[in-house]
Amino acid sequence: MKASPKTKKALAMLVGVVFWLVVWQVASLLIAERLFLPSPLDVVRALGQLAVTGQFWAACGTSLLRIAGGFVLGLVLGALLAVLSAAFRVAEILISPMMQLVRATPVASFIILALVWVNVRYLSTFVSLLIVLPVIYSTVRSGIAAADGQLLEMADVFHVRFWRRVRFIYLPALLPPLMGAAELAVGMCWKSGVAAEVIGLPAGTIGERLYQAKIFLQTPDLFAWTVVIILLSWGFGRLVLFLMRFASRALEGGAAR
Amino acid sequence: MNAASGIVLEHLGKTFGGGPVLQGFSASVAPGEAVALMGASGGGKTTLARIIMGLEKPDTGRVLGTEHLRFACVFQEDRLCEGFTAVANVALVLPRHSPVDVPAALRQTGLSAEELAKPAGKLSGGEKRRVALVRAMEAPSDVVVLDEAFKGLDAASRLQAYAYVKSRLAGRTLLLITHDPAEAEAFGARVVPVQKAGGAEAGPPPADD
Ligand SMILES: Nc1ncnc2c1ncn2[C@@H]1O[C@H](COP(=O)(O)OP(=O)(O)OP(=O)(O)O)[C@@H](O)[C@H]1O
Ligand SMILES: [Mg+2]
Repeated sequence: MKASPKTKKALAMLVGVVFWLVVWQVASLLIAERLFLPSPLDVVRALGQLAVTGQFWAACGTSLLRIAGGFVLGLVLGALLAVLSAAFRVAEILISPMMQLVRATPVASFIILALVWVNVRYLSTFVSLLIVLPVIYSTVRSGIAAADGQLLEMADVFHVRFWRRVRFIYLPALLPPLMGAAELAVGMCWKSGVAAEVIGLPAGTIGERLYQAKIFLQTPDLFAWTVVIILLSWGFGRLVLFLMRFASRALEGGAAR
Repeated sequence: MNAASGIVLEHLGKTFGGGPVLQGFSASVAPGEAVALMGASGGGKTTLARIIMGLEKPDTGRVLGTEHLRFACVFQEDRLCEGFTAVANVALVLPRHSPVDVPAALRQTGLSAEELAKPAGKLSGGEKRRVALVRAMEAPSDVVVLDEAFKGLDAASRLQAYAYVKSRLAGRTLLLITHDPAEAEAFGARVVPVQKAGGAEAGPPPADD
């Protein structure tokens, strides 16, 4: 009776998940065709068989490194360009239309362009970078603009140094929206990164394995790889949020002398 | 520290969308003097202080003697970094290796150890006011501007805060903005009336009307 709201929420979530797992299991029993709809148990079995192979872990590692690498590059580059735009009007005039162009371009066009322009090995890095870049750019740019003008005026009067302004005034305005945007961007870059791999088929990646599962009609493997992608994306998103939260706590805690 | 001639305000005029606020306002403040700007709400006291600090440009007239002065200010709003503790808020305006004992200064205004550890956003109105006051008093400056700095304090904490300010003033020029004659008196401040520009010339002549 005294369950906390958090426990209740987790319980409700569990009920929902179990319900759909049962529906899935029943549906697969009714259809009785593994190639069309494998059961949850088939998928778990496929996952188990995959997980004992070294290739599985190698593919996970390769795709993770490349896609996460693209995310990190996009985060750093997007933030840098946003800071430049905030500092120099000229920079904003030049950068802002490029960002809108990148944002409006379909992922499929990036993938095909990337196949022409860059080595197929860095395809998913390139695509994930381009997906993350405009999201982070616009979030950081508007976060900087949203910094409290009254606090900035106070900092002027007291001659507060630049890095202290960043830490006390800009980052508190910036971090909450940035965490939301980063979480969103992680999901987007995994989806588009794997799509790029399925099209470009760089050797030893999740995308390549997904494609093979499709041509060899190994539907349980297809499902298993999908589960793996969701888990990797979720885990990486958690890690990113954890690091950002850690950074923001360190900032606020470390500020007291 | 310098400016033996003090601050001189010459024929200041300022008009906002709603009409003129200051018109031909002149006054002077000697170095180390305490001056209280007093007058009805909306009369232009905050505007005048902002012009003196260089945060607002006057439409007419000029401010002399402030070029090399460092200001410290309690704004009419608290303007605290709400996610940070009281101690961090004060440390923000201090030089890197400042010898100031920030927690001790905060306690001198009646804040408890427990309040020092809370984020400023979680403090009460009067507690925030005192953090802003300590921030202004401990920052290195030549002129201290206190815009209704004691607002929201009960009588006892107000006296405690007066004593704290006096103990830290150390010969600096004090610009008080207040609606409370007792506050001006507590600091021995010369009262300069500030009225909204209208019929008569608002200028240096003594308070009447
Ligand atoms: N930035 C601004 N834009 C437009 N009008 C302004 C601005 N700042 C002040 N005013 C107007 O100027 C007048 C004087 O304002 P000011 O804040 O200087 O008054 P005050 O004497 O400090 O009043 P109070 O005692 O209520 O603080 C008011 O009518 C106000 O509306
Ligand atoms: Mg005012």
